[in-house]
Amino acid sequence: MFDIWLQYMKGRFVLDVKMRMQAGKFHILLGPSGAGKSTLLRLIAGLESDVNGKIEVPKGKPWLTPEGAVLPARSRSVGLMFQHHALFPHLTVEKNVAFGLSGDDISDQVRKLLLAVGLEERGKARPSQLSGGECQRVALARALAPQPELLLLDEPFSSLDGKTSREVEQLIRDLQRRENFTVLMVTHNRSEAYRLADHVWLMKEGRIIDGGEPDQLLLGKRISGRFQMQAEVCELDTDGLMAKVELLAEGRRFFVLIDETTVREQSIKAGNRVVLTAKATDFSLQTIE
Amino acid sequence: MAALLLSFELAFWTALSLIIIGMPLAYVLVYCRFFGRMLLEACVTMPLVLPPTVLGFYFLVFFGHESAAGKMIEAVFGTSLVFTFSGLLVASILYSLPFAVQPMQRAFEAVPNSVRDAAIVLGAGFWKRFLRVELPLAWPGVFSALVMAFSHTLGEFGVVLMVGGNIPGETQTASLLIYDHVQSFNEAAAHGLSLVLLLISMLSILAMLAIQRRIQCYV
Repeated sequence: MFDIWLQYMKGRFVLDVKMRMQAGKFHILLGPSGAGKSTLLRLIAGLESDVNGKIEVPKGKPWLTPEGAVLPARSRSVGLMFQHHALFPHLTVEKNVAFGLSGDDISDQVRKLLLAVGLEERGKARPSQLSGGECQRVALARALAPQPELLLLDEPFSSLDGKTSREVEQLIRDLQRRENFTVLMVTHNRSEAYRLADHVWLMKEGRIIDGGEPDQLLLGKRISGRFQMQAEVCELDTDGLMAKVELLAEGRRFFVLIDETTVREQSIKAGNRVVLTAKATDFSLQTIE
Repeated sequence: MAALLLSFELAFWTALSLIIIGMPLAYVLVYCRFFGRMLLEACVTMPLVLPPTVLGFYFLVFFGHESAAGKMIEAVFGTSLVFTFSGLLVASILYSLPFAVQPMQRAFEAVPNSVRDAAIVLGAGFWKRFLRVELPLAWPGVFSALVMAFSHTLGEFGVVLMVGGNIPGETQTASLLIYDHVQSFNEAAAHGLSLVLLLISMLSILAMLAIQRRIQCYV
């Protein structure tokens, strides 16, 4: 269990956070811009000074004690992935991943990590020769290289396009489930939180205002409602990741985008009668004048 | 020829000393927050706007034979800083300080904070972070500082005249000799020496631009 209590003040901004994170789970900090989410990650990583509180971790010495004993950032077992990858631009992919490693079998570890993120062929390339998605994959491999106790992700998908974002998202989720490391990710995107998290923390104005499982927190209490309607599939158009489905319901035609996996699993074909279930979080509302 | 060689020698040692002194100064100005930081930055920048004769005058007042500092230097090193090569070197270092510090300062400022933070979180201590991340990324600025300090020292006039006294073979630099040639209506000699300095300055700037471009492509 990660037991975190932090108090921090900078100018007029005050952060006061208490949270207990279960090891091996995917935690998400959800909140609007300016809520203090990224600051909280920096405080946990040890990148800000003048902080009070405590950070107790499952293994080893506490990173911060109420008595003021602070473990420096470079001694904390933390991996940090930034919004804009922050790769070392003058180093190759291999050297970026190897930066935090020490010992005899560095090249072997680098090879395994690059294989895990699907970039085994790109080891000699420089970051300027990679796409945005590839850069984030390298950043992930680099953050995971020293086998950190806690992986911190600061809006890692916000600079990627939709398709690439979903691929990297899936990669991180798969690796987390396989290796069972603890993740704390910051986002302001509810759908991301709903898809990825085991546990969601809602943050506002420097405080955690609620926490719970995504279903309970995002659907159950505050945003209620799920609706179903019967429809007929008119056309299916797949592009490898998403499927565009044209539906006919109540005499009207409309389109929905769904995962291609769902299409395959449910064997959906044109002409099928289907039941469309939608969650309230899938919609946004806008007043019309 | 002796004046030209002396100018080169002075420019070389000044540029080298300024990299050694200026790099930590630039680093401190970028990354350290302390009381008096703005005053330190103002002192480093002052030679940009200060007339060279004023700097030379205060140098003579502070390090002259009659001053306490001058007497102490003579007692410790057995030589004076006035009308000697050592004096020229110290004065040139002071006068060219902003030309070396500012490009390095801008270069360190340009290293993204997220990249530094990534190195820290990956366990890098100060030296690993500096040698493997900050310095390689700031290298174009360090090279600019080297070229600027060298070229600026090569063309110095006011400070070297005040501090060195224009002694042929000892403190007479190429720019002082050009002045002497002009004063004695020896235009041909003035032309020849001026052309040499012009070519060297042009080549230095071209080399700086070419290497910066190569480094930027590489990064």
